[in-house]
Amino acid sequence: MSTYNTIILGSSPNALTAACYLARSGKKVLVLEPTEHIGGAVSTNQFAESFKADTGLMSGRLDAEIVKDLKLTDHGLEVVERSALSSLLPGGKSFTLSCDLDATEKVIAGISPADAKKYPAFMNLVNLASNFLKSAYSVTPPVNHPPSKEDVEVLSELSAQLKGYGRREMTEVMRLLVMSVRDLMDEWFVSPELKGLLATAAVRGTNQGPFAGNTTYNLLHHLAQGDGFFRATAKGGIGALCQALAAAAKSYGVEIRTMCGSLSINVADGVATGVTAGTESIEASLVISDYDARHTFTHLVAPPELEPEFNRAVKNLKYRGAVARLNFALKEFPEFAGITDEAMKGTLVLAPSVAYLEKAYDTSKRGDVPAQPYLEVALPTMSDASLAPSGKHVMSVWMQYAPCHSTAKTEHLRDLVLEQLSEFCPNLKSLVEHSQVFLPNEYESQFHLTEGNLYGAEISLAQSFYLRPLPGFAQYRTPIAQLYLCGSATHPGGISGLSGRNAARELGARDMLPA
Amino acid sequence: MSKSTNNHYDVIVIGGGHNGLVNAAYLGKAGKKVLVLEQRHTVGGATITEEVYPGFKFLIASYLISLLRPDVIQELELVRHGLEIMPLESTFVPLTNGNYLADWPDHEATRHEIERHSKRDAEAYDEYARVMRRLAIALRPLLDMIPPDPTSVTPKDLETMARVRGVLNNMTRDDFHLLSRLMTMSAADFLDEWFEGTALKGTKCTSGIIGTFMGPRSPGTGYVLLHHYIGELDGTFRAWGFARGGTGALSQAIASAAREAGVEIKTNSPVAHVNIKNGEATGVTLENGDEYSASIVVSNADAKRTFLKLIEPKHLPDDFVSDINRFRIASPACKVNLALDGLPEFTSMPKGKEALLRGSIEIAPSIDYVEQAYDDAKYGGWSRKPFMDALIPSLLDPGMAPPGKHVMSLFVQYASSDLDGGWNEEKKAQFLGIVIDTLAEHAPNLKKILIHKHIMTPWDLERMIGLTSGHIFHGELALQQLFFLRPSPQWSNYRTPIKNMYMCGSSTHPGGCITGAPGRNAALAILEDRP
Ligand SMILES: Cc1cc2nc3c(=O)[nH]c(=O)nc-3n(C[C@H](O)[C@H](O)[C@H](O)COP(=O)(O)OP(=O)(O)OC[C@H]3O[C@@H](n4cnc5c(N)ncnc54)[C@H](O)[C@@H]3O)c2cc1C
Ligand SMILES: Cc1cc2nc3c(=O)[nH]c(=O)nc-3n(C[C@H](O)[C@H](O)[C@H](O)COP(=O)(O)OP(=O)(O)OC[C@H]3O[C@@H](n4cnc5c(N)ncnc54)[C@H](O)[C@@H]3O)c2cc1C
Repeated sequence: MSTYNTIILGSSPNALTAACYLARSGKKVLVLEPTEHIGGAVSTNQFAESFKADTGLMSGRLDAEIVKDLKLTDHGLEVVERSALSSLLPGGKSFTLSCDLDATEKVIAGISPADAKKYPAFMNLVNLASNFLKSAYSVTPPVNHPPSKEDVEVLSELSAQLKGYGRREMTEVMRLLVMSVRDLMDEWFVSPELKGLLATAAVRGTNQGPFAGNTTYNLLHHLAQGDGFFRATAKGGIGALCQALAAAAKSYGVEIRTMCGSLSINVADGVATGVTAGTESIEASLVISDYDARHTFTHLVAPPELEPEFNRAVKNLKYRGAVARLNFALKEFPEFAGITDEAMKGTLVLAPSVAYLEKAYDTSKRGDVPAQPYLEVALPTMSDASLAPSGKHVMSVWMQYAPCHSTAKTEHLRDLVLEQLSEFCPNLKSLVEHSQVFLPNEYESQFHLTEGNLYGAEISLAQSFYLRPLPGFAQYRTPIAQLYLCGSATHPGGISGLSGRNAARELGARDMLPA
Repeated sequence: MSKSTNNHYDVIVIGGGHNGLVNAAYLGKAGKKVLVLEQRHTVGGATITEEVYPGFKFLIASYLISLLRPDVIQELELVRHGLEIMPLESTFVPLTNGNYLADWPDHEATRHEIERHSKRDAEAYDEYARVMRRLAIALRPLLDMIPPDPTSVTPKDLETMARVRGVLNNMTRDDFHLLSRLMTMSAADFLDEWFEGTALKGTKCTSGIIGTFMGPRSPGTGYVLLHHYIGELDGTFRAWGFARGGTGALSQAIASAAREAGVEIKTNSPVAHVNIKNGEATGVTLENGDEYSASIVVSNADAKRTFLKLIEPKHLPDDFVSDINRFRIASPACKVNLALDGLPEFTSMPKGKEALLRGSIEIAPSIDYVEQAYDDAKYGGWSRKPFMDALIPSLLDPGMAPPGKHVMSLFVQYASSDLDGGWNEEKKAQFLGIVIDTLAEHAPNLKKILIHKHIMTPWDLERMIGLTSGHIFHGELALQQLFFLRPSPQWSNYRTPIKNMYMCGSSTHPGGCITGAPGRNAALAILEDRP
């Protein structure tokens, strides 16, 4: 029987980032993944003969410092930018925004000259706000109240950054964090089309509508992760993030086992002592769960090990997965009317107005799939031909809302999505060779993502910073000694690797310093 | 055309709403020569009682008192000036299945009643009440505070920031975390964590949406819920009371205290604009051309009305004008008053429990009901089945209606101030019909006993009382416009970009409701500058 210092359950980018940093500082680390693929739901797999597509998230970006620090480029990471964002409009019309500010201003001027004038200042403000979040995301949140001396240092540094923005900008940024995205859009723009497109990131991944308070936080969150308007993936698909991290991890001596059998955490007298994987019991002085808090504390650890108040807090966590993911194998390039090839390398969005998004949510909040859903479409084969046989294409679709307990059938969703997109690509249905549909309940049953939430718990202000993953446990610790969390469930959430890096820093700095 | 009046005042208060009156009374007591100019024939603003139909006294807008600051009652000696508040003793929630939920004056009785619906909820109820009370007590000091500017480094602002931190640091960690969550959550999510009973959650969630154009499932409503828990009556938290003579009697009591302090009150005196010379307020001009000069001008009108109508934009910084323009003020609330030839008979009200008619009657059988009411209205429409908070004032104060007759007050949501195609008399009548029909489903004799019906839509509240968009709080209680952001980031301390000009209405901290706090805090700010 081999022993490890550290066992990590799960293999998301956060788990692998933590593994890299811990192994690099001398720990013997074992990563256990019960599914077939490294990354779990963050993977790119064959779904039809010679067609590969992302299983869960279809965009994402590792934190730039992590990429540099772990030399991920040397380990095969090749970032693919999706630097265009197109809005599909009723009547087969569209417009495309890009990272090029001047070009984008011209495009917007075609819809609304007033909006075009305001766009640069708007981007400037949301960038200030998301830069502030970025700083907050790379530190460990305080858990003490009143804040301890160290907490005050952390908070003071953050508030110094805010103050550095200038008096007016400081309060503008503070307002953004708590606003509904509908209010934000109304304050800046008049064009319903532009407002709808820009508002999408504020509801992406949540079962919430754009009229709701605090939704702007979700927008800033995605921006802070480099996954806001202009997104990224990697050559080979989103799973390539995990492949590069896994290669780096192996170079630091990390052992990774897939198909390790079902997992549980061994606890004795309130201390985690190791892990049972399938029938094998493996000892370790430190156990880290990459899984979300609800799964960790109801399935991996038996709830009786925990205090009733803690169990209640776990029960009160909000997940509410509402995203369906569809992948289509296409026998030819799908011609979307008016969309250039360059734009096809980016993201296409169906969300022609803020009210359209809200109406989709109106249905979803009652548990049903809307007849007019919000869609995001990417054609990864535009930048990476290896994902499909020559001349053929993969089309990935993100669909909201598909609330986790809805009774909708996969065929219904597939037909609905094809129907909606046929308005822009009339022969689409005839191009489809194969399709794959994931509903939230499948993410839950196959990957243990509670209620199918792809971010380890709803991304919302009420579950952020010192409240994530649970109030009082923002420093990656848990009520069980030697058991830690490192996944997207923890601050800041997402697949940038920051949760994993923060967790590793907490462990390296405080509990794992070599004696 | 314009006639200059000879009199010079230390202070002119534009508007005799309850906050304007409180402000004037405090300044009068401090020895200032104060003039209140009210556009209507009577003072009170949204806090008035009027005989719209002969013999019946209607609560035209506000109807209950809870958040009125105890300091205001004491310092202005409002009881001596005639204020008498009678606590409301019960809440009755008729349900659609013939059942009901009631909240009784007697704590044990309430527990039993909740237990009838859910044993678990009865257990949770006490703890919930304790927790909300603790949070409310912790936050209370902030209400009476002139908000600090977190971007400022003046010693005063730094000191106030430290006081704010002190208030938060006084809380236990668990309470601070709970407060952080409540402030950022939806009322529905918060209540779901505590209770399982549909009816209990339905009635409780309404505190989160009063005056607010959001549904109970929208984050942000958690704060509004807490806002309505901060009130107290004689030390009892979350208690609501009815003023003998209606809320208008409160305004009269404050006016009496103000007059006693030497304040002059002129009604029928709509202000057309604030006179400004070299960036300084010098007085006001009435719509009839009369001019009054003063060293200080205070506006009780809402921020939009004050800065977009009474002052020319050229006198204001661009940023400030854009802040006021973006201030959210779309309103979903209406007020209906009924003159009745008898009492409504609720089918679900148990025999022998008719005393429940003396309390609040809430048509809010579930969160889903209220959320649907919101969804119906949020794109520029109105609820097909509105939420209502009803009261029969004549049962508490027989003087409100002729003998044997009654008045019924209904606070109703949602009907959009931005109604598709705009409001008109026909649409008013239509919505009033919906309100009556909805209530009659629970009390079928309603139409038989109905003598007169009267509705104040957001359109009417704007035309009659001067509330922009009819907003009951002079602007949404959304997080982005609270505390040091209300109504504008650098101008939350009752001062304005115009020298000698101040604000004292509900567009300022701590916002709407009958609190007297904006009026009092503004007086403190003015006296800081001009002792
Ligand atoms: C992202 C973020 C998270 C926050 N989380 C919390 C939290 O978990 N708990 C909390 O109470 N507040 C929290 N705050 C609020 C924060 O502590 C202060 O209110 C904020 O720093 C503003 O204070 P200041 O502008 O005076 O700035 P600063 O320049 O930070 O404060 C001046 C001095 O006051 C002291 N100080 C700062 N904060 C505190 C404090 N909270 N208690 C005692 N002394 C302090 C420090 O010595 C500092 O040098 C948070 C703020 C931000 C931006
Ligand atoms: C339908 C409704 C129900 C409500 N129910 C309750 C309740 O039950 N309990 C509660 O606590 N709160 C309630 N509220 C909220 C509460 O009534 C208000 O928040 C509060 O009364 C506002 O007081 P104020 O003094 O700030 O402003 P207002 O009452 O609006 O006073 C402003 C005054 O300024 C005057 N004015 C405006 N422009 C001019 C001008 N140019 N010249 C001269 N005068 C001018 C107006 O006529 C008015 O008298 C309710 C409000 C409404 C509308």
